[in-house]
Amino acid sequence: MAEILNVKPTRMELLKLKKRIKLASKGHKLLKEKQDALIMEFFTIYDEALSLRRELNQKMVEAFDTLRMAEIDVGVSRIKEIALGVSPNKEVEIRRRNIMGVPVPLIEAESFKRSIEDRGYSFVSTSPSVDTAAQKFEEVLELAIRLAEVEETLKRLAREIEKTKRRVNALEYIIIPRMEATVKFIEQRLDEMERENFFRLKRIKAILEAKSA
Amino acid sequence: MPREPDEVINKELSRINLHLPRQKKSLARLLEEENPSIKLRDGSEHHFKKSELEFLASLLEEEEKERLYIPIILEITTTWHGYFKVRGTLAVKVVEKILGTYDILEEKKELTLPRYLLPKIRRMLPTTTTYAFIMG
Repeated sequence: MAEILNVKPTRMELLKLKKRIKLASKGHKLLKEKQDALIMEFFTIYDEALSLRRELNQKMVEAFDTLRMAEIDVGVSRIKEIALGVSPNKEVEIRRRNIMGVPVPLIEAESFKRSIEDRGYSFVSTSPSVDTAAQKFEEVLELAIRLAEVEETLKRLAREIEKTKRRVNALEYIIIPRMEATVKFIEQRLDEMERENFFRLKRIKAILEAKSA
Repeated sequence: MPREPDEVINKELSRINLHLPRQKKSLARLLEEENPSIKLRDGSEHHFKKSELEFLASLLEEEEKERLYIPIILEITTTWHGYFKVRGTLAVKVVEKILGTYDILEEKKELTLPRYLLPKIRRMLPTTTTYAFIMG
């Protein structure tokens, strides 16, 4: 049985408690709605994350295959030299958006694909296989950034779901049952007091009748 | 120190809608902004995806962009479990166009939809829609 609250067994307290139970039940319902919405949002993003992860893995395999081909073509040390000459790609700006009170990152990155001239290495002294590898890795970068945003959102949503679940459970299994048990206790106590009072009146009546007889 | 249960509940209820905007902005205004964003009730910023705003603009007539206020609010009430509500003629039009149920002859001011349609809307409009939790 649930514990009871430390309150005086009076009618006033009973009324107050009934009001509190009403409020707690409403709060519980609302939090449960929030929890459902969060779970729905989580699974919507989860599907996206799953397909992005699959796509990224495939692109990585392709990118490393093309890199291997480029290494065969121009040699490992030459590839390293070329990589040193590559100019940095665009910077990523991370903004914020809010999902039901959960701040999550918003990365709106434009395409990372560049032309051969923009990459910064000399295309005269390299081979087309190097360009293909660079292009494939730019595609990987684009997907990786998109996936980073989605996975971070998932993590934060999962944390919020856990928190909300804890609150919902606290209301459902501790706070509301405790209040209900207290109401029951006060009602029983008040009934008991009424019975005592009734018995006392009966006794007084009997005594008065005996005296008058 | 353990807090009173009422205090916990009241705090939770006051916190639940802090992610709603302090003031909505029209689509036309947001399209002009360099970094389209709004301020939320908790004081933080909420940014919109430009591509999403452009998608919304493509669903509306030119003059309607001035009248659609962003974010579109998806209302979840405790009295209508399993449903959600969208209010406003243009917000309803956008939602119906996304769901493929738009009828040019019908102009609805509000729309009540089953909750399983939410992911479809949220997938298309993740930054320009937001939830509101209403106690029935």
